[in-house]
Amino acid sequence: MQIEFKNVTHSYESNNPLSGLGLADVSCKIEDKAFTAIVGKTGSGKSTLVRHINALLKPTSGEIKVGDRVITPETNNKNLKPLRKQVGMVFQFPESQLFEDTVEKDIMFGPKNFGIPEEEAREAAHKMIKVVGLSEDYLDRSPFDLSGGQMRRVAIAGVLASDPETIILDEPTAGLDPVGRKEIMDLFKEQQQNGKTIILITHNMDDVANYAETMMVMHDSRLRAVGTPKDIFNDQDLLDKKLISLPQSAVFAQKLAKKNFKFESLPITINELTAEIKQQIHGE
Amino acid sequence: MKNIISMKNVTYTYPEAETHATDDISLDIQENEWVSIVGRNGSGKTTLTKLIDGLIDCDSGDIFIDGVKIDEDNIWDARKNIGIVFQNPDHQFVGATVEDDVAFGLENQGVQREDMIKRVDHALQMVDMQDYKKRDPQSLSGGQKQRVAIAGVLAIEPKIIIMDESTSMLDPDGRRTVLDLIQNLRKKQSLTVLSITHDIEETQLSDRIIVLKSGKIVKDSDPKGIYDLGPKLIDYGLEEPFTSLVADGLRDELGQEGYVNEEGLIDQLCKLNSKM
Ligand SMILES: Nc1ncnc2c1ncn2[C@@H]1O[C@H](COP(=O)(O)OP(=O)(O)OP(=O)(O)O)[C@@H](O)[C@H]1O
Ligand SMILES: Nc1ncnc2c1ncn2[C@@H]1O[C@H](COP(=O)(O)OP(=O)(O)O)[C@@H](O)[C@H]1O
Ligand SMILES: [Mg+2]
Ligand SMILES: [Mg+2]
Repeated sequence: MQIEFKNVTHSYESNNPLSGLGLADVSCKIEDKAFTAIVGKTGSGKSTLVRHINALLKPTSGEIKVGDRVITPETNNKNLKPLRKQVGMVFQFPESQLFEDTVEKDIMFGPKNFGIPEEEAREAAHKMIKVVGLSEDYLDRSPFDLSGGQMRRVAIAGVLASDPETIILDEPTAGLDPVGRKEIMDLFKEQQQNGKTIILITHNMDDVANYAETMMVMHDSRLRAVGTPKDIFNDQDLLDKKLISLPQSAVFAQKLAKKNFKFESLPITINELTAEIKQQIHGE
Repeated sequence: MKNIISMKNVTYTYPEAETHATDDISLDIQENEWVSIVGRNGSGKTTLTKLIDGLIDCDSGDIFIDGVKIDEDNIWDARKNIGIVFQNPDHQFVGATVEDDVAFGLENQGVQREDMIKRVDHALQMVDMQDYKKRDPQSLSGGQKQRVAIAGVLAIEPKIIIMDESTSMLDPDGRRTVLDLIQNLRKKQSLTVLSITHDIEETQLSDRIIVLKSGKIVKDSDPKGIYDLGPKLIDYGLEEPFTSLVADGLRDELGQEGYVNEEGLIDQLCKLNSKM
């Protein structure tokens, strides 16, 4: 499903002048089956942007197309189920999407809500809990008696269980330990290879470099740049204005460049970095 | 140096849980130390800090804060010295506006109104949230919530600050700013920092890293001692330091293995590059 934003503006509570614009005139296309990362400072509008895709927020002006569905300021809350089935979202704070008294019921809620029979939903729960790195023992526990990282995993399992076509992840790895983070990022990549569209909000530039094909940069409620991670991380103007930070490999390359190395463009992954260093050392 | 926090054989099990969340932990933290607490999800980090703050009572063992053994009667006094920033800031917002929220802790301490306003403003300025004073905390972005939660704790000027992944939703610049801020405060006043984090870069700022696994302390050392563990770090749920990953990719060129710091690695690479 292709997603398209056309001149989308969102102002939170128009009667409260202190809450400024959430989004200002954003236009973009998010490609079907691609892995897109959204980056930007705290409060730049990332969450506001993605909440329009499943109509949790409606635009104040402009429109969003999700497949053949069009969301406008007039869109009401009726008949949103098909859209919500297609577009799954892992929220920034996982607790906000956990509410049942056991983990199993919690993961089953989505599929059941979308009309999947009880037994199938249960199977999905048993499968997904393992996929996110927890054992089946957790299914009987209350989701509120879990550690932060465990809750995060349950929230992710709940979204995957409904098998949405598009998966939106709002800082999904905040709170995961690094080993868990890598496992979960690999899982999202695998989902993409199985034909899903992945939209990831993150502050981890290494994850952007390693996993994303397209990168969008938000700043002050505006979309300031779209491109491949390689191009964006090499965009001097964005760097000068401090709109982006660099992955570790690029930072390291900059340090080498101050000595006797030369980089035509900054490497953004470890593999690119070491390949580049090898070439220069061996004088090819 | 005196111990500001001391735990002796502390064990805690959640009701109905099969395993101990904290398992016979003994630990001394000195005044002014910056200690990182790391470990895999569910290893007991948050539980440890809840015990220190008296939010839960240990099943066995003793906890001393600033030399005083904690019990039911004195926990409220002890807690005045401890500022805790929770893993999810939503759990600590009580005020209808950001400034009320930050003022809440001061009201509890009986700070006079005039002084209170000053301290609230100052705390919000420190985290760069002064423009959001009148906003409902629930309407903030995730990272903004984290900043306000930090301001709320800074305002009460605690002796001990506990941060439970408190910068996890800040952009890299914002994270550095907050960490620098804490670092600078420590230069001006006595402040002990206990920081739970999964960010290896952040641990480099600390004096000491404690690694938890299944409720037990499995490592306790200065950062270098931890990074030297190399690939073993993964067993503890930590990332290998970036320089180790680079060195690993250049094993043939460097002809050695193990942890090298950044400076060392850059030096070696530059030498190799000029030789050939
Ligand atoms: N309220 C609770 N009731 C029962 N068990 C709990 C509760 N809170 C945590 N636990 C369990 O205690 C263990 C330690 O949890 P804790 O929250 O201390 O972990 P943590 O190290 O902070 O993890 P994370 O990195 O995921 O935040 C986990 O196995 C968790 O499931
Ligand atoms: N419910 C809300 N009411 C009013 N303002 C909001 C609300 N949610 C977010 N905002 C504001 O909109 C801006 C963008 O927020 P958000 O999209 O959450 O940022 P982020 O890029 O960190 O995800 C911020 O200034 C934030 O304070
Ligand atoms: Mg957000
Ligand atoms: Mg925790």
